[in-house]
Amino acid sequence: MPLYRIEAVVLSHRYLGEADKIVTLYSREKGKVRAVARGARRPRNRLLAGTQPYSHTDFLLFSGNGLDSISQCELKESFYSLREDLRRMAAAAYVAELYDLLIEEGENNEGLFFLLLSTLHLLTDGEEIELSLRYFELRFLSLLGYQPQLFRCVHCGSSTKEGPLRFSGQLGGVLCPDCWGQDGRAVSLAQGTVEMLKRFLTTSPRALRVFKAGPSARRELAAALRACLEYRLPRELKSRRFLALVQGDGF
Amino acid sequence: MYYPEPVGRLIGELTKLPGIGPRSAQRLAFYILEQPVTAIEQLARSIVEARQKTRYCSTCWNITAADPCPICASSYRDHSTVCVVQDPRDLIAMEKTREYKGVYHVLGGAISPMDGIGPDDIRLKELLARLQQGEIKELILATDPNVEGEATAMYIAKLVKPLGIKVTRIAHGLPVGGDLDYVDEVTLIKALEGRREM
Repeated sequence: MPLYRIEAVVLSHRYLGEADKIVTLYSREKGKVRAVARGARRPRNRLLAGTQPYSHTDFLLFSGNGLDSISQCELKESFYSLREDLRRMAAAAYVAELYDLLIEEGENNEGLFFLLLSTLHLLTDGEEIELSLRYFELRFLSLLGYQPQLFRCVHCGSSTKEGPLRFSGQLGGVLCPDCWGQDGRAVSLAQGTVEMLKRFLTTSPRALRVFKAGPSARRELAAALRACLEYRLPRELKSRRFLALVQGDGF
Repeated sequence: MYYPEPVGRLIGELTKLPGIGPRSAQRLAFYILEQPVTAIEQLARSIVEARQKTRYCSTCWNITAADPCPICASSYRDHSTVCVVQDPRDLIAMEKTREYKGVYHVLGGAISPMDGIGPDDIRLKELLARLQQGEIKELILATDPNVEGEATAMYIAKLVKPLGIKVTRIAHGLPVGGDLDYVDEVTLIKALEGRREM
């Protein structure tokens, strides 16, 4: 199969030589793919627009020795407004880095492809960047097979419908008061926040705009999902520092 | 092992250069061996001198043999306009236009969140220190028109605008001599936005 066609989102690019670059793609058909885009840094190159990060593009690839090469590409959606707003751009970089870091090449998962596309749409048009990221994190973990246990205590299995709760990233779910000792680093989680996480699991991305969350619920959501993700990550996310910086005052 | 020791060492050193693999290194090494000694001495001297006699300009951070660099030292240049570029090669590209009469600031990179390159890793503090001296009236952001370059330009604009300095971004649009039907939608939109009356 020397030539093959894929529909993909560009996760990142890395310069190679004088005018080439290596792009990391997440495709609908083949999962994560790395390919060489020859000449894609020259202003008049046909591959230039379609190989920019976060672009949704149809690719025709040529497989040879070593890395595959991009033969042709056609841009479907550039998500250009991500590049015109620092907070949206930082959020997209965070999403792309998670895909790059947690997914191996050759693992095909169409659900993950559509999650990536819908997240980029949310980050492009949506009002709520922060909640969009939380929604993405939970759905991403679920699709990878790491969905946290939200419906009963992850350690003893007892009901967690009442009373205060904690969330353990290491054990991957909520803990009832009797089991708090199982993870000293578990974070507090109000009942309302757990309910919101449960609703994230069944809500479509478009319905996300009806969600309202106060500052404390946002803090809890961020801390719980971060704990869950960090337990799975091989290293710290580089984009998190910039995301925190631009989420601060003035941006 | 197949080469005399000095030749093997030369090939080893050449392989460390960007874009030079073992085959190219071998070709270059054998070319060097065929040249007269004087020519090769000149080459070796040029390499050493280029490295030893250049440093960064303490004002604009361009590579220079004298500090401040000829552009910063020139009284013919407009010191109230500063063009911000990513690296010295971008500065050379701007100079080749012969249109720009202001001075420069070389950042030495661009913000790239995924690579962990943040605002503290490029020469932004130095730029802000220059701006606080009060002589500068306009800042032209000429970073690359890609994701990293745009992020850098936006970040600088946010920092500098409160200081009351005019901040402009170089235009995006059609390359001269190009074909319209090969141009992507984003570039066309940018070209339409930046159209001018004739």
